[in-house]
Amino acid sequence: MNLWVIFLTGLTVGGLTCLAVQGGLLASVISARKDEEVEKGTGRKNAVFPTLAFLITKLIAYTLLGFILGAFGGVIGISQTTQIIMQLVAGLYMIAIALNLLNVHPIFRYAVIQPPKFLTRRVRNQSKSKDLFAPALLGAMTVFIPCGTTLAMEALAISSANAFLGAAIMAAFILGTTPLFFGVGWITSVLGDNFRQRFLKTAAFAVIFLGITSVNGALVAWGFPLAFNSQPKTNEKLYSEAPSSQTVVINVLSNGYSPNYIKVKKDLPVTVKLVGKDAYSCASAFRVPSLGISKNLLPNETYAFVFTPKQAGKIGFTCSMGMYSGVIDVI
Amino acid sequence: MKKIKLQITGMHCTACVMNIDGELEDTAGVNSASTNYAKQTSEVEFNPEDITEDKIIKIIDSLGYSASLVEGKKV
Repeated sequence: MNLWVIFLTGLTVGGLTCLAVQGGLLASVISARKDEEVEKGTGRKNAVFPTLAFLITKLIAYTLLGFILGAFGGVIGISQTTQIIMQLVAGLYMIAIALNLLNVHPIFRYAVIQPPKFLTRRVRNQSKSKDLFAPALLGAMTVFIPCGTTLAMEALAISSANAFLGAAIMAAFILGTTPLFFGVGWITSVLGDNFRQRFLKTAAFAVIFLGITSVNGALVAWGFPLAFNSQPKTNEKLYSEAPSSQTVVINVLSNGYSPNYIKVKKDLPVTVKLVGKDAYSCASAFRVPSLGISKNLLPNETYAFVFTPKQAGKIGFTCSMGMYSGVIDVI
Repeated sequence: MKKIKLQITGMHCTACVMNIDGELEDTAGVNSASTNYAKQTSEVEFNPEDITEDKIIKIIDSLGYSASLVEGKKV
């Protein structure tokens, strides 16, 4: 999964939509604290500390949430089909959220899940607290009032079916949203609401891109022939002919598989040895749909499986999200 | 008590719902406010002796949205 795209989504559309609600709450808790400090004569001049406390606990809370969602996805996504369907749904959901941001049709408003009233009320009450730890607590509580983009990211975290990847997705997104919080109100007050609307629309395309990437990834993982990237490019360096022993070594790297095109002979057992090399991306979640192979490699772990191809043809392998793929060509 | 239903324009996410409901419920005379993002409506229950419909609409307008009355009845 491309964490940079997720970070950028946070920086643009996520930051704005989250800021719309959480910025107001943050401002409110900061001013509540200020009143208290003025009364005690300990008033600080800036709001950096409460803002930092708010953002740090928010990051921790969402990273934990991502971890839980990823693990949850891993547990319920036992079957590969379930996982692919979830990724497909997450992608379509992101596209619906983006179409809502673009105001394409009122029907897309229903894609936005409204948090229950008792939760929003509790969060709002917290924002009025004068307690020293109020900003930090409020930051953590924002997990209960996700905006549309955050929900799309949470769906993506579930579909990653990996606790660490889920945590990374949420952390990248929330980190992306943080810079805007330091300029609460700046964008709207200096640049005006018009700019904000245009910015929001431009940023919606980042979400559409993410959605399409997710849907395409699901199609690749499913082995759909019309998906982009479903056939890896044959590269001289990545080309590997199986030796007579039919033992092939596939290096699992952060940016994919090397080699990603392997030729083997039919009716002879093939040993595929996966060597994890600092692979922290979803490449470590190795899948061969047609053989029912599903292995989540730990960094620097080695795993081998044996199969005997009975007929000539192409056997595709991909990561769980279809971002990286390769082909075993049986001749 | 009186209950009115308002049509709201200018909401772009559920954050706005929270802003509107929170601000209205903090206002004296308003018993409850329940805004629906998808339908872009808000149901407000209030005591007409303490606050008027116009005042409620003005509060929503002051938050950057615009509200208009759809229906109103005594409850």
